[in-house]
Amino acid sequence: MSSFSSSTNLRVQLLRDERSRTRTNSIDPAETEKEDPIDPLTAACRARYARFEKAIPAIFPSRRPCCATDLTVHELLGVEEPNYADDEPLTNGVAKDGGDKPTPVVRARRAEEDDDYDMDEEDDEPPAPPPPLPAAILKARSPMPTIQISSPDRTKSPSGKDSAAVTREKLEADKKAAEDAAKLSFSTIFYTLESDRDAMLEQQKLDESDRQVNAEANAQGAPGKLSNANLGASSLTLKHLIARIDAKRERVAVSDMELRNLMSEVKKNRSKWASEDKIGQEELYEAAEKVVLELRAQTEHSTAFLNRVNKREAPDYFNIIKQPMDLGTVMKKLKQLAYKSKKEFIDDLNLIWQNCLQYNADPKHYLRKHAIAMQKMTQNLIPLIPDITIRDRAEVEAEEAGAHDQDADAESDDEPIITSRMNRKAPGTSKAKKGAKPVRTESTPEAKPPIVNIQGVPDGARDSPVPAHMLAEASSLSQNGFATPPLAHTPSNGHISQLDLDSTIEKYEVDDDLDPEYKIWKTMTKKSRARAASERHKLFRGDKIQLDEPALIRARVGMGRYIRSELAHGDKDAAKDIKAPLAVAVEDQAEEVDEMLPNYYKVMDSVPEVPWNLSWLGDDEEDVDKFHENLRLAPKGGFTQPPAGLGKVMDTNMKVIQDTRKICHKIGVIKQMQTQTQIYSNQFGKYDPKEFVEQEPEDFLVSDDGPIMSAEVCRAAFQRSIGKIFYHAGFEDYQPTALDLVTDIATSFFQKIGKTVMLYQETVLPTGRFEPDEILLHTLAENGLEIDHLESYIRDDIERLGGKLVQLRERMRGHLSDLLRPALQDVENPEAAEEDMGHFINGDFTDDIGDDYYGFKDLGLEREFGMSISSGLMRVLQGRITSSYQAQSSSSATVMTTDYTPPPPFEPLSRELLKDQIGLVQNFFLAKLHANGEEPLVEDEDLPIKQRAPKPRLPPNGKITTPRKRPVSGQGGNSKKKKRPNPPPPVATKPPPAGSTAIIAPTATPPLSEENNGAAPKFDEKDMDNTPGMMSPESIMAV
Amino acid sequence: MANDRFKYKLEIQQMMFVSGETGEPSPETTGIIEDIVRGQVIEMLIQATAQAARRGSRSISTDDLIFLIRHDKAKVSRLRTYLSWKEVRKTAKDQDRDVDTADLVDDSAAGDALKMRQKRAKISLPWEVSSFFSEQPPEGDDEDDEEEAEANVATLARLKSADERTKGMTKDEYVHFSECRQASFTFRKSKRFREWAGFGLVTDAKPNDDIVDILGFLTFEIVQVLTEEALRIKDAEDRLQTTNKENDKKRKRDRFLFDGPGEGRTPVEPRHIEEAFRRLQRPRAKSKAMRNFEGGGVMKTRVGLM
Repeated sequence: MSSFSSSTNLRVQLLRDERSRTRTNSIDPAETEKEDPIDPLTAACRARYARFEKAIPAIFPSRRPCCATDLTVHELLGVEEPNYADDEPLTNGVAKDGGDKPTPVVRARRAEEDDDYDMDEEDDEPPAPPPPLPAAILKARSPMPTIQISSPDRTKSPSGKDSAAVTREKLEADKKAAEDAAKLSFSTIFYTLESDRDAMLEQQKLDESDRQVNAEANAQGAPGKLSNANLGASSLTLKHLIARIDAKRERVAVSDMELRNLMSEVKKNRSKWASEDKIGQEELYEAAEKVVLELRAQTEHSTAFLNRVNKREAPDYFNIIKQPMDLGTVMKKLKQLAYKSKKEFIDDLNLIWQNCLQYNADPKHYLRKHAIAMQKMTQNLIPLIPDITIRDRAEVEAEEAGAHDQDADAESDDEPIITSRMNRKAPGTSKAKKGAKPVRTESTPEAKPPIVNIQGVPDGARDSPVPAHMLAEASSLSQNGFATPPLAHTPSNGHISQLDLDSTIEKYEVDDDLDPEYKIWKTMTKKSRARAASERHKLFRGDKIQLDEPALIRARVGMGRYIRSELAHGDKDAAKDIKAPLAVAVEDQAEEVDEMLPNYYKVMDSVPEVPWNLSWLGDDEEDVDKFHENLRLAPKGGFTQPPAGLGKVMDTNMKVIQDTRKICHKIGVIKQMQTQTQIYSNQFGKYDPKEFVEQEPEDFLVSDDGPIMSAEVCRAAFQRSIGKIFYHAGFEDYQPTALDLVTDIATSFFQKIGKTVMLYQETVLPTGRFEPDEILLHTLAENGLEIDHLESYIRDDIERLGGKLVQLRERMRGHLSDLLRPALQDVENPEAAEEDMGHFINGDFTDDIGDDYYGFKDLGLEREFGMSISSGLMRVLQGRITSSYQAQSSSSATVMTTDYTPPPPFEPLSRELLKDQIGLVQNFFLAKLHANGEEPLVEDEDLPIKQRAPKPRLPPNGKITTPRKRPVSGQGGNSKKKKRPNPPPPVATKPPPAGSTAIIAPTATPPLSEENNGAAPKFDEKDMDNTPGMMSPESIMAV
Repeated sequence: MANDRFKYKLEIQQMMFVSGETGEPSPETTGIIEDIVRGQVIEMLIQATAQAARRGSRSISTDDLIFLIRHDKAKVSRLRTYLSWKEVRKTAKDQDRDVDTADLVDDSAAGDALKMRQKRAKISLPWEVSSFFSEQPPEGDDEDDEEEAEANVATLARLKSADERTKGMTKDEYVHFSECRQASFTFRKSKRFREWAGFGLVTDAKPNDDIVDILGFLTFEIVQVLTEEALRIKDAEDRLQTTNKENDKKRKRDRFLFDGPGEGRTPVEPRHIEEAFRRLQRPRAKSKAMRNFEGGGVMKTRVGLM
């Protein structure tokens, strides 16, 4: 875009409008010439216009050396003003037109000897700040470009065929010139995109019509050309070959089809229209097809004529129009080879426009404008078609044989047809309600005026004798005053009516033909613009950007083109940035389809290189990449709780809670030791809570200051805080859904608080705005909070709770040492006892239990080295605890039983002892012994408590009704919070991705930084099993 | 008004007397209070039942009831005191039938039950700190009663005002006052209370004794709160009326030697009770907060518990 914004020749619509207005004022050159020194207002306007035109480079200064101007705005506007004022009125009015006016004359003359004038124009264009308009544009400004430009010697060529060829050539040249002109104007005029949509829609319609025609043509089966392309003897050039092949047809192992393809390959220059039997068909159809395609391509005007008129659209159409016609039908007829001569074809084309003009009789109807434009276009294109009547070859040959006059061949081809066409044309044209026309058309063919006095035609063209039929066509159908037939040939009444008509048409055309330059632009770039617009529309379907559409990607070719254009512009600054290899590579790129679009349509290509701030330092440097102004690391601490304040107190409280829980766990273990005779290795889980450490999200980059708006991260951080509050409120773990729910509620509440604050901030009282503390108080009150509430929360729920917790911890410790005391009071080794006590107090004994004593992996070692102190102590300890507990609980009973010595216990029943028993029980015990592996049986009382069967209880009625109940397993010592129904599957704490306003580096973070890494992973697993679905703050402590 | 519909006319009168109403309230007044109290009891039962259902239990426990009033710390504290003394009374009854347990409920008797105090069980609530942990240490003597003392401020103030009132009383009056203090909806009338409150319809027909006792305690509180609020309203009204009278008819205000005795204090009227109920039912800002910015300001709300 830079090249356009800084372009020396930026001219926006406004300026063009101005110019076109002056142009329309002087639409009749004759008039202008006459009134040349007149109208000081116009002159002043033009002077002003010209001055501003020149001032543009100064107004929009460019860095580029080639476009730079020495002039300053002041010089242009202030100092030089008198000069301009002097100059402009003195020179003729033509010169005032921004230097445009004289050029057409010159150009047209130059065109006579040089066809390449456009190129010259282009070459010397860039340095001249206000570029003189290219010739093509000027041509387009005058309504009949082709006729005016045509050079006399060419049009004088005797043969009609030649003239057609010349015309075609010239048309192509014109087209090319127009293209060049349009391209040139890319750099001088900034076109808005407003007409793109129309272009797109029209193009779509055209494509649709294409499809329709093709479909219809295909539906008709194979076109006749294949059957026509007879391989028979009538082909002149290949006659002998074909004859030969025909003679040996059986020996050629090729199908007819293949042969035909071969033939058409050989006759490469022949087209699909070629036919052996029909002379002239190929040429005629070739040209006709081109014309139709050309007409169709004028989508701006042709849209309405592409397809048949639908009865639904115009119910009475077929009442008025007896013979409907449209471009699609013409194309179809072409494909069906329904035309026998140029005339038939032309008639059909004209019929379309005539139908339209007839049906839409209202002179203001918009379609008339299009019809007339198309008519004009047709007139321009007709010379392209050779005047050929298709005849059967046989007939021609017969004629040839009969006739001796060789020269007459061309003439006879030409003249009679013209005559006949013109004669037959009359009724068709008379439909156009132009009274003067029949008379004139009758007269023209006879008179064949060598010079038509066309008003306003530049001198060079004025003298050119235009071929009669062309001129006739032109004059009969033209709209503008230029083509008015000479007075001598036309009755005055006809002329007047013609003028009247023309003027009316002119009126309606004006709005469209505001600016010929713009018009050329529109027509030349239509296809490309339509394509670009449809691509754009794809991206923005439904008024919003379509994310699924493929991304816009810079293409190498496009970039190369852009670079080339920059180079051509001579901008060294832009060029030097591009590395040479790249440029070379781009230069090597094959030329792609040249699109007629200015660079700003291809935004992706002209995106300049983003200057990067990334600098690589050597390996010895510490930081390799440095981000400068754009991106930087997000400041730390955005997602953690500030180190001071209430959070600190809460952290302390939670630490106390954790400590107390540890003690509780030990107490639980001791209580179990008291009641159980046996301890299992996996019985005691290790309770080793980790410290709460809030973690930052991993480093990420932000581009701007301000809060980091990343819903996910913020929510996760919020959830973490809520989890902490949960823990602080006494919940060791909780269901994730509960956490989610509370987070949602809290989020909603805080959003409301935020909204309230905003409301008060934005409220303007007559006395002014609210003070910040007022806002805060109001917000609290509106949301049902009072300062007292907050204070009492802090006092009661946090500070006092802390006190209570500390108290409770001390009591727990006391309780624990009370429990341990009986086991430790009479140990022989006081140091060991101390140590052991230390183990307990410090919470290490679970390690001993889990790892040393019951850890089977170490058991072998333990045996080799003898019992380690701690494990031995543990066993002793357990025994003591148990015995002391039993002594405590059954102190009264033991006191009672010490009076007598208990009888010796029964010996365990073994096979030997069984013999002494009574015979009734022998079988029973035998079975038992067998089940026990021949080991002595153990009394029920001696079994470990767990294995003991509960004693059956007899109900009062003495009947045993229910089977024995299974002993209830499980200690039941766990907290009741763990007994929640339907625990959901464990939720892995998802590390939320970190985000920021700009660039985000989402990363997973470890859930918690572990304080003591000695924790056995084995235990963690078990802990998870114990409380499935529960989560604890420890697991969500990290963001 | 059908008098048999109201079963607690006397009790309510007594409670109102204790709460400061000196006059004799009309049956309409006691009737409306009774209706309000019944509504409150039913509401409490419904909410407690819902709470129990959330716990997974079909019958309500004392915790459910206390949970409903947990935000009123003073009330909770009074209730706990009440319950613990009730416990003490029960054990005392078991151990020593001679102790006059009736005195224990009176504050005057608190002093001589010093030895009982050791055994006074502390009612622990599930949302207290001790329930954070799986193990409970044995009761220590170093209980921090700071919070309790704070919560007792209201109770003490109430006792003080009662003391002020009873200061100038004769012995008979004081006896009457003491009797009135013992008025209860539930004491020795458990069955009547259950029928009255529709226990069978709302929750299980035969609830725990404790629950009935708690409800008895709470009903007393409700009547008290209502009466106090109504008295305040009446005072304001009276003040307003006297000032109006002063403005309107200054003449008539002049009293003469042989005028009849001045109008005594009129008792609280039903409209005062209604106004008091309205004021007590005014929704709290806290409960409205979540509806800010979301409409629904006129949503139907439940009866607020007093």
